[in-house]
Amino acid sequence: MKWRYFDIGLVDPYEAMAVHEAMFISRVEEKSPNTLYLEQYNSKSVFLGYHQCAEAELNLDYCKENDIKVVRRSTGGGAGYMDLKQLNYEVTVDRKEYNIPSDFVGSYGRIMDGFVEALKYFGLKAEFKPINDLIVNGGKVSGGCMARKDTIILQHGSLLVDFDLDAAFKVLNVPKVKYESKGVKSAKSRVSWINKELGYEVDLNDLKNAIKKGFGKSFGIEFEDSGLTSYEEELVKELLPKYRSEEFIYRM
Amino acid sequence: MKVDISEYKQGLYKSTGGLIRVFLKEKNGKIDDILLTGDFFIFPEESLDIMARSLKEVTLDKDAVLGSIKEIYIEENIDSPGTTPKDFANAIMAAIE
Repeated sequence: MKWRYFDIGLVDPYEAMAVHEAMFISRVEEKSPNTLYLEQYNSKSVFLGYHQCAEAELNLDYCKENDIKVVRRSTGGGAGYMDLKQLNYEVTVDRKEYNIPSDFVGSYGRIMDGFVEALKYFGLKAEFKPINDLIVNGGKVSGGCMARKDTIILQHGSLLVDFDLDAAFKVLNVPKVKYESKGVKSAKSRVSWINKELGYEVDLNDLKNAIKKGFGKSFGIEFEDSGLTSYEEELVKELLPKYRSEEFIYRM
Repeated sequence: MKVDISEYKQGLYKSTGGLIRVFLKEKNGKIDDILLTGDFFIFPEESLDIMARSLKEVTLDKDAVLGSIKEIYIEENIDSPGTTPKDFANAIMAAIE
């Protein structure tokens, strides 16, 4: 079975969120195929989870002073800081077609197996750790979250490639209680990224190809490269004002 | 920002599923207003707002709060991986401790 593979390249972070939701809606309405989608953001940005309080979680002054766009997702989970060097993904899939478990952790882990396979091509041993972490040598290299409707899953998240840890922790207010429970000394020591683990700068195209191959292997699928459908493009236009609106971004 | 959170008491609690940050206003021993926020996962997403609305006027007593949350879990068929009604109740009670 063929999935769509869509690499949009550098994209505006608000537009990206509209693209994510558009592909999900269209997949739910059975107007789009299962998809593996990759993107990078064209500006520094921080992504709030749907239920997070912007003022409590972020250093909004720092964001403003450093031209970091504040974006809110329509999915739960935690805030993530992104710059132009990180890779982000979305998978939209009908879980029934691939015997993907119906529970959150089961389905999340199943989809992360695509990345586990991908990183093997670089000699990295990655493992999924519930609830939503992808771990390499004890460091979290990917976080993400999902939306579900009927049997359709939207899963999206990050793959940290060359992470600016200091900037991230200036943007995010991470309370001690968040990492103490995981038995680590600092939130920073919990995070890792691909280049750090490899000891060299990965070629982004090599990484993208490995992700494609990893998902191909994990799900037994082939890909067809294509962009958004005209219906999805219409949806993006409709959804974009919401993601750009202060009312949505600062909803709490 | 719709509300000024500096006027609210904040309660933090870490569940397996994430960090719960509660902002609440108390009046005569009851919840006057409450914001349930955090980086946990909850499905359906809208159920969190429903939970917050249903907690208004509830007595700030751990059993009363927990009972109210459990009811909403059943009514809204909530699935919150790694986070339990008790975790929400703990976060709420942490705000007034």
